[in-house]
Amino acid sequence: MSDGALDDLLILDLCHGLAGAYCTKWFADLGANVVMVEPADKGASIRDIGPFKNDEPNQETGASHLYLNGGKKSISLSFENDEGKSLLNKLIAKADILVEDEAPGRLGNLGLGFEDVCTLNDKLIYLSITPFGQTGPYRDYPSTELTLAAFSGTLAVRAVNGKRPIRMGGYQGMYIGGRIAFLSAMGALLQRDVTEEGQHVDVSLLEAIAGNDMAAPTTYSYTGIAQVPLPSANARGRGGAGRYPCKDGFVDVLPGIGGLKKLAAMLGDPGLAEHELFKNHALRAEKAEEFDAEFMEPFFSTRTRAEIVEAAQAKGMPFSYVLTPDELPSEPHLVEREFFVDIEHPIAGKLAVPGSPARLSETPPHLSVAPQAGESNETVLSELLGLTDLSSLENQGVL
Amino acid sequence: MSKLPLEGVRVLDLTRAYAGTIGTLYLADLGADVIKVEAVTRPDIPTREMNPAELDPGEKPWERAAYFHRLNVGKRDITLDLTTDTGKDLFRKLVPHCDVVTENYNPQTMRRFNLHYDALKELNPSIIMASMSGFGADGPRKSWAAYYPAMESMAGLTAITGYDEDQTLTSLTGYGDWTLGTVGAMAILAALHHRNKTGKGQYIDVSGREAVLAAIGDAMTDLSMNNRVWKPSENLHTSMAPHDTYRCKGDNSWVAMAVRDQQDWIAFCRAIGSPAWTGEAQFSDQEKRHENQEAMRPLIEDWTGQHTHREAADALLAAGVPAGPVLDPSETLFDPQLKAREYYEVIDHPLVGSRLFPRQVPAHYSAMERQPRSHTPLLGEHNHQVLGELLNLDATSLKELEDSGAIGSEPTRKGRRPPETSREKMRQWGARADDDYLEKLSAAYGKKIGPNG
Repeated sequence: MSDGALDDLLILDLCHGLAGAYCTKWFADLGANVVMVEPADKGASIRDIGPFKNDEPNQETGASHLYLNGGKKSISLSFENDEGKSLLNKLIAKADILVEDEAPGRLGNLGLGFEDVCTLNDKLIYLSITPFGQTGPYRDYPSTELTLAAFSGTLAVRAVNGKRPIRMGGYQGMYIGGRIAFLSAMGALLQRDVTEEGQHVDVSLLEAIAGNDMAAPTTYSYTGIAQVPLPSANARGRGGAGRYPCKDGFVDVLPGIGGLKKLAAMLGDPGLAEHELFKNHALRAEKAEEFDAEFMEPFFSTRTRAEIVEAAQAKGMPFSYVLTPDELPSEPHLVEREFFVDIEHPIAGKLAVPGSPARLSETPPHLSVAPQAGESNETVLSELLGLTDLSSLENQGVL
Repeated sequence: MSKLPLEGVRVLDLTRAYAGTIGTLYLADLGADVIKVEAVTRPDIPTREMNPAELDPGEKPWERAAYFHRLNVGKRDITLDLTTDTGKDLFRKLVPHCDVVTENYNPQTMRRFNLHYDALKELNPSIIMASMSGFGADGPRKSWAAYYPAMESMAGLTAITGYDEDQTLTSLTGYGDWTLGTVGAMAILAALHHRNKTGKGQYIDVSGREAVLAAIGDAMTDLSMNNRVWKPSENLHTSMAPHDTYRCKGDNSWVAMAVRDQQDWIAFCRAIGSPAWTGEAQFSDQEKRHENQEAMRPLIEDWTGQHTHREAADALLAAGVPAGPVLDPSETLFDPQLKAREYYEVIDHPLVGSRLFPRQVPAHYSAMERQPRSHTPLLGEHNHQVLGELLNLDATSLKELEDSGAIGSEPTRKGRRPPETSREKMRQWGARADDDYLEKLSAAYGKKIGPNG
């Protein structure tokens, strides 16, 4: 019985940021042995990202850490001194993949760059995740998720009615980066399955984010048009598309292909399809308020999300609820698919977290609890390096 | 230098439209032989007709569209009609020659074709099959239709994106589709590694809604731990301030910036010329600035409004403050960083000439050289090649299939023309539209971009 599709891999996770953590979470969920290597004095900086349990800062209870580091091990190992570096090198010699997100060149300055360590392990895949990549004129620019989204071309699109551009909720740019980093490392791994050789993989978060592009730059090279939100894009439902309020919340309305006929039928009068405001897209955009007041609001204001969405879906229109996060754990479809996973953390308590979206029939993903800083020192160092007495390393401040 | 990682991996690809085709685009970029299966009776419309080159549908409108080309570059294309016995028969014969089968139909469809995983496994015991759908292969809402807004809204992302609870936003960039396709590709790569170890294939079920939901794990953990429900918060950050987009000189021009700590604040003040307001008590520390961020907006825009987005961002970056011009999707094509790393590739297509395509797996590998990708295939372009090579069909059999209409290169069912558009109309709607886009791109990329000849 397999413990996961990637259960043969040892991953050293030197990351501090969300993208790296999401990347290595994929390895952990799929069965790899993922070992976080955290600075002994301060821990990985992802532990400092709130919110925390009861909003009391605690390196063990940050929401991002609890979610993204689930199923990993943690060793606290400072490698800026010779003793620690030598220990890390011994681990690198055994690892399949090393993942790091330091500023370009930083690990190289410590003698731990790809060129330095590939001699210890010629099968090592060394994955570097940085905001702009290891090369190019922006290489050393400071950045955050918001400023990377700005550079990527994908933020400009999320500005409606002349208002300022708004990022997606949460940290989507970092999650995109984590996904692309995982994919890129898997590319190198699948090549290694054949060639038995490792290599350096240089992932730029900017490039990852820019790739979720709705085809817009390519479209410019075909048409000269730089995509911006259409007049129909709105923060509220308008002219038969967008988020409309109803009795118990919001419905995302999207008639879809051939949808205006279906919408007319759903509203109770198929004959409406012949109405000028239904037939003529441009006119409907122009007279959106009139369209909404006459046709949409009477129907929506008297019905619940369930009534509206079921009626629309029965006609093949991709309407949906706008679910708030608190509604998700009890949503019947997710419940039946057993999507949420219950885990119990010794400090944070019982948590229900999203499961893995990759349902592999033979090697189902498995989620588990996030490690406390350094909690795996003994097990990892004894299992991998055969070290039994750690006291001198602890006394020197290495562990 | 080695070959690409997925060379020798063959994917029989039934995906259509966005999400699924994005998934196999990653595989093609990594070197897989992705054979896209369409039908002359049901080609991949409407993406095949959206945004044609030079806005001219031409004689073959299904071969000119930016959308379709973007999502299918580097694949091969054959036509088989799975609603017919001939089409199904040929498909079944191809399965033993393939490693992966992908699809993004409604969950019932493959069963109706009798091409569900159990049936494919009979034909090829080590096959990996991946289904990429909005809601997944089972569950009460499995048959619901989902475009990207439904995947995002049913995942809680819409409810935490936007101006306030009454004014939420979807991604407007197809994020649900991108996430579903990306996760589909990730799962397939993991399954390929497992197969390399064990020889065993498997079935993969990916739901786009779950893929998006997994990306708001922080919000869900906070809910579970503190019973707090995240709400739309514009561009606010939990600790950084200012952290937002600010209006610059020119139409619809913005700069994003993020002041992470006191050191950034000092650098920021200096970069904008230390105006008197920066010394006010209400902005003196990070906590106060966080609280009074809205009061800072007009003051910051006094400065940003005098500069282009590039100028403003450059000044802040030079001072060490995270910033970025809010580039529109055309500006990214000219961005020095993306140019320096050859992020966009020029690919020559027989009907529309040379155009620009991002690298879908943009990583730089030390032991793998990037290969030029082949052009987006024409409808049925590889019928003879694929059916000839893999199934040993000779010229006579192929001609019979063509004559009977089983395979072909022209749709028998035309799409409805997408609404006519023009650069003039787009400008009226507030979009940027350049008449000299081909000249600009040709100059930037040092080769002729645009139609051949």
